Amino acid sequence: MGIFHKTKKPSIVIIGCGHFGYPIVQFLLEQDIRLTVIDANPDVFAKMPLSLNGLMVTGDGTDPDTLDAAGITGADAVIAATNDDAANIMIAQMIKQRYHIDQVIARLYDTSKEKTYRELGVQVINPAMLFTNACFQTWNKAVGEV
Amino acid sequence: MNILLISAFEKSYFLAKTLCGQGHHITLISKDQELCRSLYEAFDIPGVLGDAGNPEILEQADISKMDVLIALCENDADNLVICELAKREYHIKSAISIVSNPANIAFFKQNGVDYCVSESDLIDSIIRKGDISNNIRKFLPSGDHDVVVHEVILNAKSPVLNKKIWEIPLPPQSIVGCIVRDGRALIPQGTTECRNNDKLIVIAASSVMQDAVSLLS
Repeated sequence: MGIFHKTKKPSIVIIGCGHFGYPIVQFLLEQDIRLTVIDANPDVFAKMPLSLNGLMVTGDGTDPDTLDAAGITGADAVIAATNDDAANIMIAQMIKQRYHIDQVIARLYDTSKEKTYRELGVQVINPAMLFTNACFQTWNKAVGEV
Repeated sequence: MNILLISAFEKSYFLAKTLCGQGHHITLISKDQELCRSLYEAFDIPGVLGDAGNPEILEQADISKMDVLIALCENDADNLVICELAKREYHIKSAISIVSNPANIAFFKQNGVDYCVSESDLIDSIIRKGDISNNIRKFLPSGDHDVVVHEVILNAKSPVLNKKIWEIPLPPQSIVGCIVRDGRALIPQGTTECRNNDKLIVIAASSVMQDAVSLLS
């Protein structure tokens, strides 16, 4: 009987809910996960649906007190998605070192620091490079089909 | 020394002035054109206008020739990234950063920042020290029988070396209240032995302090 069988939902924390973070939050809200969103600006939470199944925390994501208040310990994955590259790097390092969470991804717009931080073990995703790669793949596919 | 100063603060003007006065060679990286202009006009400090979190800007400022980097950005995250880049990629000898959130000081040090200065931490410690000294003043009687506190550092020639506190014939109205040994404070018992380089904090009536000090040093 599987009726009493309970699996733990994965817990994901998004730090930064601006232009970049908000669509991620919207997507994750529809998934079967436990979601926590942190942003310094409480106004961003006003646009969330009322039926929201997640925790909203107002505060600076580079402040350990905010991270503690959001209950980050024990999270399965964290996405540093603020609009500030330096803040994302700092958050990612802090979460790895202080909370020992390995699945941390930082969004970086500026490619010049990417190498340094990859070497430091920070997982970095550059949206512009992702888009460019996707474009090339589409073109290559189109060329292949001709 | 060659110092790379990274700041957009107007206040850095006086830091730059002090450092120049001591004969250091300063280079500035700032996002603030006005600060670049004023430091160049006043002290001939070369300035690079831009974001120091970008390695190209750091290279334009000749970072490889620098001995010390001082990061004074408003944002903790900016300061951390700049110091990490300077240390890891350009092997700068010493990185100094201001840290707005004192909770992040240990984290900065763990990631290679050599010295952290936190304004809020400094002011807090001054207030705490002020509290302590106010309390001391409150408990020390004033008037003719003023009590004074004096520190004596023991050297190899000190007559009380290797003697126990009770063996030292300190005059009445005086006491060794604390011994600072290897950076740690200990409250001495009569059986505590005096060692070389100990810092003795003597509390005594002002009339006998001179006698007490000459007995120890």
